[in-house]
Amino acid sequence: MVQNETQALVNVTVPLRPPAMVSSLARMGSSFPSCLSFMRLLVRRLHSESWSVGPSCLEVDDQGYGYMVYTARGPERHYSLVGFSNALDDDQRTDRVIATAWDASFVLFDGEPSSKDIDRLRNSVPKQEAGRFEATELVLARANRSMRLFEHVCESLSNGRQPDTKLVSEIGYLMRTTAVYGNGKFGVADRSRIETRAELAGPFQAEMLTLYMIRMFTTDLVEHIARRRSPDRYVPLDRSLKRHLGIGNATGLGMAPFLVTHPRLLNNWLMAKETALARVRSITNVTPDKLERLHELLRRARQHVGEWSVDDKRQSERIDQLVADLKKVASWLGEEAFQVGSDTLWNLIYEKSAQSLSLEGQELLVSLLIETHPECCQDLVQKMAADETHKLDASDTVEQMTQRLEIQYDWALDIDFGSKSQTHYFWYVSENKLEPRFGRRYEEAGAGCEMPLAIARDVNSLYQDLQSCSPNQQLAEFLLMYPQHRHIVRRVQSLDGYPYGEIRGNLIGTECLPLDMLRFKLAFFGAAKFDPKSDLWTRITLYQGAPLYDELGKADSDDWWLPVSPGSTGCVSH
Amino acid sequence: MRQSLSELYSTVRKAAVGQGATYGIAEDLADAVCWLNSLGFDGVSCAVDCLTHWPSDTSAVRLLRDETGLILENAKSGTAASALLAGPALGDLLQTGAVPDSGFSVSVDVPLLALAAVAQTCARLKQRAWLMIHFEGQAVIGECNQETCQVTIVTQEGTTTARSTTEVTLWPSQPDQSRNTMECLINSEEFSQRRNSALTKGLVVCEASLRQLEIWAALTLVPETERSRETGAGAGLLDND
Repeated sequence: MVQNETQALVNVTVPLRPPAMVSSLARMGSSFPSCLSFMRLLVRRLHSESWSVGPSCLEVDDQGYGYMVYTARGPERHYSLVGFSNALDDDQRTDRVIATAWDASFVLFDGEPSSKDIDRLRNSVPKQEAGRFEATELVLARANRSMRLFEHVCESLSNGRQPDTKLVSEIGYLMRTTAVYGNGKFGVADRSRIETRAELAGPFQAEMLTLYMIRMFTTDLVEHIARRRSPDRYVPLDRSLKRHLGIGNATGLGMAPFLVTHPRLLNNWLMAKETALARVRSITNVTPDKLERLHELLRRARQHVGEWSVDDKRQSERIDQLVADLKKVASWLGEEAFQVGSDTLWNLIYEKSAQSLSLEGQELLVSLLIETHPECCQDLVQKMAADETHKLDASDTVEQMTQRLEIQYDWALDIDFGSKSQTHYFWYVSENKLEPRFGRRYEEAGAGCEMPLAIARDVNSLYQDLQSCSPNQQLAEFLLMYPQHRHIVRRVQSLDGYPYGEIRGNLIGTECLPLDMLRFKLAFFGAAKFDPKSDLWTRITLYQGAPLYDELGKADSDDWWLPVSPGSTGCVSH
Repeated sequence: MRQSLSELYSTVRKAAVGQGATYGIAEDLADAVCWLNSLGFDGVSCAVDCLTHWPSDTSAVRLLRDETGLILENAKSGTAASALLAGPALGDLLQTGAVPDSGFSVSVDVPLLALAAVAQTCARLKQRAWLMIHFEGQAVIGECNQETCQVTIVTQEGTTTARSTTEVTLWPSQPDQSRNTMECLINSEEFSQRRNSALTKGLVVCEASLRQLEIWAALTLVPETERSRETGAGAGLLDND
């Protein structure tokens, strides 16, 4: 039973969708943001705890070069974004990890930095990976300007007019981050330093706060430059346009291994989402206001998808199909069977979608249903963090481990790793600035340095060697004979009770599309408008439509799921 | 030189893999080194010692079952076992519950790493164990009690023991030390304080040893090629849109 906002109890009668369905790469790669997304979690906290967020120091010249400090003041602690903006030649501007210079670089500081801290950070932050940091630094990030939009907005505002709404909507950001580092990288604070703080205990909350403040930085920077160019004619950005500007991100392979190396976290995210969905599907008495809310959100979703335009052929086709899917959903809602009074109305809609819609259509509907009932998620957000301390129990026997594999990893045992197609790829780290890459095993050198992400293959190999041992043999003895299986044994045992912990696919086979992993994680961040540039890289926008820092106190500050262009009928209002 | 826990863990793990250790063994070594450094021991130099001799100058360990229980013994008499294998094996053996109360001894090239492995097993599985090792010319016993580890210097009957520097002795139950003098090196409270400090402030590590580990860690990186640079990450080399 779960308590909803009207104090009635929801009896969960629908089972959670099984891991075999939910954890497939194709479905993960069709994910959409929801009210469980990490950005939403942050903004809800900023609102409910009345945080004050705003600029505390601006030291930039007429061209916008210099630094700015933004401080977020909460009930117990303060955090400051220190951002440095500098000149960058076009031939240096790349989103790749191998870049050595950027338009802007940032750090999230634990507290409020002194002038001595600023001097130290001025020397290290622009160097990014080449710098060294202290435990007072929590997150390190950098960003490049959108050359299409940044100058256009500057030029427009300095000439007394607003930028082109269509361009703002199409691009969605003034700058895009190209890496965001935390958890001890380059000397910044280990996560263990901050994970007991309520405001940072949830997944990626420090990073989400950083990005929220970087968004402010970008709009303030463009207004500053425009104002200095032409003080007499300058006009500030229209509020609705400012709100529609998010912070872009160029997401490459670095995100993908995270999902494999943090399986309990993956499980907890999926468990929360699937639990929320099961609760919503179990609701028997849908009220008229909730049905109206679903209609409203569906209208917004249709508008949002209509504004989603990409160059990538595959994604473009998927979007076209999604447009058709949402039209279908709208027509179902006009049918008699899908009116208030229908028993388990939401489940009816869900089941029809599972039979009739594309994967993207199905997963968007899942997010839509959850969005209609945010009260079903409130307790679940507390369960989305995870302790990734993995334990090995050497007292288990060969027989126990064999049975575990046959039950939990049947999907992996079915794969024939003798076939070259199943070992086509390998994941590796380049010596060039430690950039994560994806190689073709039989065409390129480097497979000997492969990262241990081929879980299905490792499980297969473990299973084969277990067959040659006595069933009663303890793993302590087995692992002395086969130390190469230590890692996978520990992993398998640690995921007992974590049914959604594995991506159920071969991550080195020809079918593997790393983009699916990126999109899944980004959807949980809260990203939308996925704009793939290849199978390994995508651009996205974060915080588009989110309340501005002086709007955090408003009652509807959480209503920005799938934002639409300002002036459109489905527009989010504040 | 200061390192975050996460950085040090990553460097040690990669260094071990770079030197040919399998991934799970590398993870255990990284855990052990971070544990040691968080208490103020030079875990980084221990890792360098261990990996320098791996695998050619060390032996493996094997399990022996007798009427008293399960023990480890060196596969090659007169040659210390690598802590890379012996450390995790000691932890695994404790879990089986079959270690005889009288304990057993085995020779390990870097005993401090064995202490770390046993202590971490006890922490993870909420167990107790005692391990005697040779440290800086003295015999010390690590009493591993769930999350903490109290380290005590042991002087046997008025003399400092001259046991072999590589010998480690493991007991699953508290050994009789009534005839020995005990002097606390790190008590439980100080153990917790040092660990908490490491978590919040990071670790100070030996720079020369860290550099060596970084050299080995770099062996896990794939050299740059034109093809790799152009196609391996999926994005263009310039982004001026």
